[in-house]
Amino acid sequence: MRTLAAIVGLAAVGLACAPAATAVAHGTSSPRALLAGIAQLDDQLALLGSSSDAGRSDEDDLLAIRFVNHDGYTFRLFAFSQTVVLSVIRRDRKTRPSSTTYLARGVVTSSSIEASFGDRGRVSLRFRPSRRPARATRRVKCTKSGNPVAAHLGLFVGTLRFRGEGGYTSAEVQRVHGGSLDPAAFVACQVQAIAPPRQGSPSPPGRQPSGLATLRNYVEDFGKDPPEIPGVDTRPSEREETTALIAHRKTPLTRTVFVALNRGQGQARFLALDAGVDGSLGILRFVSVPAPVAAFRTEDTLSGASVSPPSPFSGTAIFQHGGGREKSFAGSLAVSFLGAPGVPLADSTFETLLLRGR
Amino acid sequence: MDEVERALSDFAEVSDPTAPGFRQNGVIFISDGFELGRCSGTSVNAPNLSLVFTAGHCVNDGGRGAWFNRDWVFVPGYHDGVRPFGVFAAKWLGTTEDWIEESSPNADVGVAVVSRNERGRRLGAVVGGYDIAWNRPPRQVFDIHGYPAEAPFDGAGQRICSATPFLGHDLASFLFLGPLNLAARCSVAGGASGGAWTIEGDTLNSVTSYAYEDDMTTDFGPYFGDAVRALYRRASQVR
Repeated sequence: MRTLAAIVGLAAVGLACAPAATAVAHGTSSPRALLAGIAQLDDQLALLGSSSDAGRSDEDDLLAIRFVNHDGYTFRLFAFSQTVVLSVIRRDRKTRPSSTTYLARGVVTSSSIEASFGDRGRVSLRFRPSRRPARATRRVKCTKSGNPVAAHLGLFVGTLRFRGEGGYTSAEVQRVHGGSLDPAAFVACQVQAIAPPRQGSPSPPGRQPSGLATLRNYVEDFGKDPPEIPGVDTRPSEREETTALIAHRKTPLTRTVFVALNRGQGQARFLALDAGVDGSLGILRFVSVPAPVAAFRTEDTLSGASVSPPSPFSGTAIFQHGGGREKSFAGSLAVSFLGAPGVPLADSTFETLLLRGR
Repeated sequence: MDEVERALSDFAEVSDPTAPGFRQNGVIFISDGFELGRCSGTSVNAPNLSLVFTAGHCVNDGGRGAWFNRDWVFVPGYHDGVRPFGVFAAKWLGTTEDWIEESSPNADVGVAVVSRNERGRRLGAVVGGYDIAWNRPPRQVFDIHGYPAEAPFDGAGQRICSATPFLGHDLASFLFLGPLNLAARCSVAGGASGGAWTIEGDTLNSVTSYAYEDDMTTDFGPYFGDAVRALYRRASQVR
């Protein structure tokens, strides 16, 4: 029997999200590329203890769009049931993604998306599928009977208008490629073909085109670094130690998380996430950046640490753990999210942990 | 003031749970055959004089889970083990479709139609009931009632967070079916689930659904919209 639900466990989440943050979808609109965006959102939502699967039944189609705006920002939108999620992503380099994700209530059918993002914009799109659905025909481990249609690619027509806070980006499109996906079919079945081959003849009957993973595998493997190979580590003592500093602040309706990681691989990584609600819009901001090891220094006894991450972070902060329960994390450390510059990350309102383990 | 003191003063004890205006609230005792549980509930005005509103998870486990229809009783005005108005056993339980289908916290509303008490009297005739409102603007000021039973509370008496305003929506609420839920400040604990959120004195407009373990001072409840209206109408027809 359920008592009051305990939905979020922040302390453990920072480490789990770190690798995924480095992975970003590439390529044109294919189910795989579109779903990559969903997987990334899943990773970010994991910080909140939720999942984009929430509220989506197996029968629901998931409409997804991805395009690169004229100013270089990547826009990803996916919609299911009553939820419309728009992510704006900037990649300074391959390994430096910043994103802000907006969640709105909307009206979503298998062929249309209607949602308002308040003064930031709105979406009113109708989906025109192409004539070639992608079917799940390879029956290996396929728990769905028949040849279920796993995806339709096609064209969304209408309006997608968006202007980020302070005008950090703006987009207005009337026609954009995307797809209607059946996530359950993707998860349950191997997909024979998800897009017309770019060149050459179609794949041989019954063979899966090379390089295509099932959605499940793809999502599970998403961003793992390095890819996880089944096996047992018989020499755990030889694995590199990971040191992590996790600072988080919780208010009734917002969470801010800062994570510094050193996996002993000659590089540190810094992440920050800010999640909250602005009126009837949910907003989730995220940055991840690699840095030289020197940017995250820790004392061997874990009694202190200093961080000086690169842009989009600024400033520095020092963590000190005195005797007993006395801890402090203070300094000028701040981060500039897309649409929210200069968010402070180190003061007495943050609870901070410094951990080390294999 | 430490956290315990703050919680106890925030969710303040009602001096007389049997007084008019408070006696509509009570404790729900539930047994699923293996373990005992308790929630809070509220008598709501209806033609059958027999409606108790509570949280969906106090009547059904969600996601096509089990109904708690084995032993489910409502004790209005409960305090210190006393049952001043008797015990009302459920004869019909209902919840929203989105709670059944998806365990959506946005739809965590339940209702029971209860039998007469040991003296043969209907619930509404004994303690009266709150009115109920739906499709109101979310920005309301709530009185949150309940019987929190987990520490630092003991479940012995009724408590109230008075005049606590709407804070906003939970971000997680965006990912679930149903209208965005409501947040309000109140230091809840287990057992408070299903407790009434009233507006304008005596009008039910939400119920306690959940809180986060790392912030038990913020209470979340479902928005009362069309689904709740439909649930009310369905339950009102049960004789």
